Amino acid sequence: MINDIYEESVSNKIKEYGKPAAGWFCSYTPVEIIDAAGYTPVRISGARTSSGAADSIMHTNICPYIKACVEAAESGDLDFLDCVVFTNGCDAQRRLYDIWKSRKPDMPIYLLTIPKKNTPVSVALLSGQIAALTTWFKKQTGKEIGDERIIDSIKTYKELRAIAAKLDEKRRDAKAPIAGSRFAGLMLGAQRMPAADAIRMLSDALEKGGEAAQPGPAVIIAGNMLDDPDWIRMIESYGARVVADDLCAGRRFWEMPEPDESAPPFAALAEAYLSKPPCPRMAVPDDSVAYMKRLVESVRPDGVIFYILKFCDTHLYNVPEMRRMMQDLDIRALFIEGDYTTASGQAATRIQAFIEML
Amino acid sequence: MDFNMKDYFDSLASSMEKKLAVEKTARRIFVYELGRIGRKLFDPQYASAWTGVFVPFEIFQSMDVGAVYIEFVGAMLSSAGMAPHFLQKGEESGITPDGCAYHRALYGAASDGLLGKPQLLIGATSPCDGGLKTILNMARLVGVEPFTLDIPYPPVTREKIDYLVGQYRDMMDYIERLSGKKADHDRLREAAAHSNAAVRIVREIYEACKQTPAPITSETLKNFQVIFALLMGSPAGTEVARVFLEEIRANIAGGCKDLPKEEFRLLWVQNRIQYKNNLIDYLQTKFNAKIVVDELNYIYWDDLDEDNPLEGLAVRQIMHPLNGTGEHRIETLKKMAADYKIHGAINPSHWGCRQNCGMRQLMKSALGDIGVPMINLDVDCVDTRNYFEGQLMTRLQGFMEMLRENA
Ligand code: SF4
Ligand code: SF4
Repeated sequence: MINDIYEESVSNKIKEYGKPAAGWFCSYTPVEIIDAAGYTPVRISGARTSSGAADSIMHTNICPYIKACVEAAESGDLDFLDCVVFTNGCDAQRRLYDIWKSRKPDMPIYLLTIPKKNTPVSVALLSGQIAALTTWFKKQTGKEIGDERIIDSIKTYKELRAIAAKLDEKRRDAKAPIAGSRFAGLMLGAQRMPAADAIRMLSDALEKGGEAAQPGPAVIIAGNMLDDPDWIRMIESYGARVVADDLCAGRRFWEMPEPDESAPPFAALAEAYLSKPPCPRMAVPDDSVAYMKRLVESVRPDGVIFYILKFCDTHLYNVPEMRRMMQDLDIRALFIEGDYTTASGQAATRIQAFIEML
Repeated sequence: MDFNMKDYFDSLASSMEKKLAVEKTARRIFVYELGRIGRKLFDPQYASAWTGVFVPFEIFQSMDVGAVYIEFVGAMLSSAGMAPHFLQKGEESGITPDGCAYHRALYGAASDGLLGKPQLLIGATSPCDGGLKTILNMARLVGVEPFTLDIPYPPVTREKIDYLVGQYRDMMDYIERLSGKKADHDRLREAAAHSNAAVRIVREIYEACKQTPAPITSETLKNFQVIFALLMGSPAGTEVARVFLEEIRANIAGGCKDLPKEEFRLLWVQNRIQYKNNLIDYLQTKFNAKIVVDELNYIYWDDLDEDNPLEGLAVRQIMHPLNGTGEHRIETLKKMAADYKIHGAINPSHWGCRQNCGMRQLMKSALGDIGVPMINLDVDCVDTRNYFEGQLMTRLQGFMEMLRENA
């Protein structure tokens, strides 16, 4: 059922919710505002095959996820979206905004700029940007979006994230763990449906629980945009258990401090988003490498698989330090540069060999 | 590899000093100043800093910070023919070979310990992710606390100016804390005055280049922004600008007779190729095609308010054409193409530069819409290892023939 949610044609499923759909890409997008504006937030996946269109519109050396999004947009597969919210997550994303604007001139789009620092002034700046995004949504719908609506959405997502955290915990359950691939499917589904439906889906899954524990090495999968549960399934098929992740569409979506209920909603959201476990885009002292270290120390896996899409500077420039850190922690690590295609080929062979070694 | 950055800069400055004693040319002054800037990194009178490319050097001048941006080091290694060795080193340390070679070369040289250790590391979120990540990596490598300037996107608003000015103040505190160098309002005011004076001269240079023929060669203003940025706020900046202007005025007075012929006027998009190559010469000798303007040299900002320079610096940094969306950059390119009566534009599409490569087709089509064809070469401006001049010349030949047919 979970995989159905993910695998079924997203556009058909979205229509069933009876709401307009707002596409989004980056885990720093405040989905609470999309929800409060009455839209279904749809985290966009790219096309898995390339027609070559994106290479010619952009360049071969751009992030394959971003190019896959261009491919999907060019093919018309994303025309069901009523609007799209972009961020300045990275250079490739800001160029995606530019391309989209030129190729889809009739689709309303918005670029939200997220500071890279987490200081009181950057929180204030982001708070203003989120307010501006809300005003933009008001213009799209012609309807007011009062503070109460936003506060409600904040509460809803808080609940959603809390359940996701419990599910994540369940991945490491000694007796009946939830499989990593199942978790990935649930997370992807939750990012493509109204929050209330997502809560129902995740609660059901939590209630159902996991399956009898299988033996096998425990691995963490880390990297950037790995939004295909088949990848995780492939890792599992080689006998490993994927007990945690540090991925854009995984942990970076659901792990966030609770927004402060006593603060004005935009400020509360800004503060919470900037305090998330940092993505490598952020320039904060307690950075993504330090975060990864803590994650590894708390999970103590047998190995870590870094699956990083090619040409992603923010993540790839972390590799030397991640390598050093893994050596210091005496944890085996595999570094793979991915191309956003389906789970097979050389990467699969390397993963299999790595798991066998563990 | 037997290389030492301090010796390199020392010998660059001293050999140029000797040549200048014989004859003073603008380009010699330029190289001499490059050497002097590099030397400052090792001069105890200054606090040494490695920085991002578009940061307010006026502040550094006013605080006796000898600063170079990291891409300058990459470019310098490339022009000295030493990039491949250090690129290889960078790759061995785990830095992706698909990233920008300006950064990778620096990474290789720094991990070999050949660049010394700066006292300060100041990055910025613009123009690219790679630049900031490199500063943050350097911080780990050399064990120095970094500082980041988070640059909001255009358009300018009061809020964004305040945000950036606040960060400038934090940066000055950081410099003081780490190096003991003090911020001084009068010296900052002085630096702003120097900066304005230099910019006024440079505006005159650029104005002259709008004439046909432009009173320069394709090489005259190559990398001009490098030195100009690094010297911003110092009397040396004004002096360099003045010597260039004098040379250009002399060319005008002589009817540009000593300059190569100019049949086609070209715009160079983003950075030049840093190592020795024959492409520019080929364009000139074969097609009488001259680069009359470089995108990165452009002056798009107003004079700084000398009583309140930080605000002007913030506006300048926010409005940099490479900051923010592509639309902002494209509008600037179109204006340049029109102002300089450009026939064609060349974008090297430096490998690994995502912000540029990602929008190269947009630039091409926007310039095409106003009748200015653009060619996107595929060349790494720092790394010679995949440089195939013959292929590039063939492509340039096709491009120039097309321009000739259009003419
Ligand atoms: S994977 Fe990297 S380059 Fe691609 S969108 Fe994410 S952060 Fe940007
Ligand atoms: S060439 Fe591009 S990637 Fe390299 S430093 Fe310049 S802007 Fe950054």
